Amino acid sequence: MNIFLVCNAGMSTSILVKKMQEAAAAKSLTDTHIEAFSVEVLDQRAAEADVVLLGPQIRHMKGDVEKILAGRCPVEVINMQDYGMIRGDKVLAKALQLLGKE
Amino acid sequence: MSGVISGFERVMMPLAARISGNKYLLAMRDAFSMLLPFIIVGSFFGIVQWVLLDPWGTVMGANGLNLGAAFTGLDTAGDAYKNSQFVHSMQVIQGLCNNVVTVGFGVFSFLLVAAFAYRLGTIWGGDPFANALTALGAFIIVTPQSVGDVGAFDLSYFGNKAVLTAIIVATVSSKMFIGLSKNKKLTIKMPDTVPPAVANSFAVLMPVFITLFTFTLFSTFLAQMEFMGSKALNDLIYALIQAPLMGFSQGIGFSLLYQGIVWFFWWFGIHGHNVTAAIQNMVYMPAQLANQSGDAAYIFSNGFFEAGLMHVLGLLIAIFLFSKRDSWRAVAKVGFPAMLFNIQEPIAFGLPIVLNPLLLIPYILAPLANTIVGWLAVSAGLVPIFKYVVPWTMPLFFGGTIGTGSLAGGILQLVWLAMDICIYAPFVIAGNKIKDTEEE
Repeated sequence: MNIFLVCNAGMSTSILVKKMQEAAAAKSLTDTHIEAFSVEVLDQRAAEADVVLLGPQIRHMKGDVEKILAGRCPVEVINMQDYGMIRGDKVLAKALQLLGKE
Repeated sequence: MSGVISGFERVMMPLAARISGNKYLLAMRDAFSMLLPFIIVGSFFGIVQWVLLDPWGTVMGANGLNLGAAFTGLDTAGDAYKNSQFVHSMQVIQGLCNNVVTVGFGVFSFLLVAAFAYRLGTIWGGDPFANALTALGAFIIVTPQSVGDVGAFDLSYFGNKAVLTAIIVATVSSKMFIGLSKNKKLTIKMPDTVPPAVANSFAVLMPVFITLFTFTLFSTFLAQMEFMGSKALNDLIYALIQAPLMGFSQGIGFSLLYQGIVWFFWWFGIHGHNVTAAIQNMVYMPAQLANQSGDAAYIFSNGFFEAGLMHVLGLLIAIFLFSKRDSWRAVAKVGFPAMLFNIQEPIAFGLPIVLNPLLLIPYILAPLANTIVGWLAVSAGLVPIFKYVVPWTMPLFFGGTIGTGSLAGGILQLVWLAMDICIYAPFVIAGNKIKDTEEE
């Protein structure tokens, strides 16, 4: 399954992705693909998404993101504290919860 | 205080959503991002051409490392050096580098027409590629096609001076072309046996004809009327809108207002640069392009403001020096590596700076102080203008040095850092008195 993280340029979320991948490896989740990119390219990748997590700095764009995804998969804004502290495990847990896997 | 903040947030959030959700502005932002690789590549070759290879430049010349003299054994001021094979070879390679610079800077507006019209095609529901080609056609029509008596294009109509013309022409042409394409009566229908590629080219025939014909009529009208002494649309738009806009945006007042708004949005945890992207694209990006091509010397450009992104590093160092709060020190350690590359989000959201009343004042004051000091330093001639485009993630000192092509730019960033530490320090010390309530 694909967990996509979206922010303005995909820079700061890419740091979080690395931590999430480590957390996924620790849980031996082999079928999770986690990737970060800019909100501008979301429309090209929307079809592959299973869950989309938004960087809190672009939380005002949640409405637009929901429109792009058109209800295809869940969208959630990442908790600010978890985002700031780069807590990959917590954000991964949130993603899995949204996917109904936990 | 928290009541006031949440009241503000109720205003700011929808405002930010409105601005960044605007499809037209979004398409414009996307278009500029599509061109960013070309600008950075052009800038790279620009640095090679003017800093590295220039026989009298920073590396080869007597005012710099003087490598030219070391290689040839000649005095770089003399004619022997000027006529040497070495200088000749350097100039040939410089010329080749300049061909690439032309792509990123010289014809930037031409590329912008294509990129913007392509994105407008996707949002307004037309064929993006046909729309981009039509817009390029319209742009060529409004551009004078002779220099003197010779059939030629003047490159200056394709560069930084034409950014606004490019935006306007792409918009009007796209609006017309897409509107006309949707009109079924104007579509020439082909029998089903005709291959789709052929049928499609006939389908857009009338919209292309009407769009380009309208632009031709308009262009002829302008050339006959000579408004404000200009025969071409580019000259008119530049004189009427872009030049005053550039002048206005170069004022210290407007620049401070711009920075104040950016960082105020960031304090709410909203991407301030995303919200204000239109200002950046319309004025500070053309300023940067003009600086690089040597047409002008604008103090306030993208490069100038991006060099100042490092002010949050001042906060981190102030925390390492003065903070007694374990939680702050822990966040500072986590966020430090990212902040070296000007990525401030971990600190902004982790500390947090966002919605933290204690840090509101220094978080806005530091970039404003940097702007004022940078303005003074460049105006006084201590630091050259920010000329070369550098990725905004370039670390402190290197960003300023490469961006200005001079060590003075790097030193300016170090001065900024020292100032920012002093600005943040009192607030960090005041923070020591606040107990950690959110410790887990």
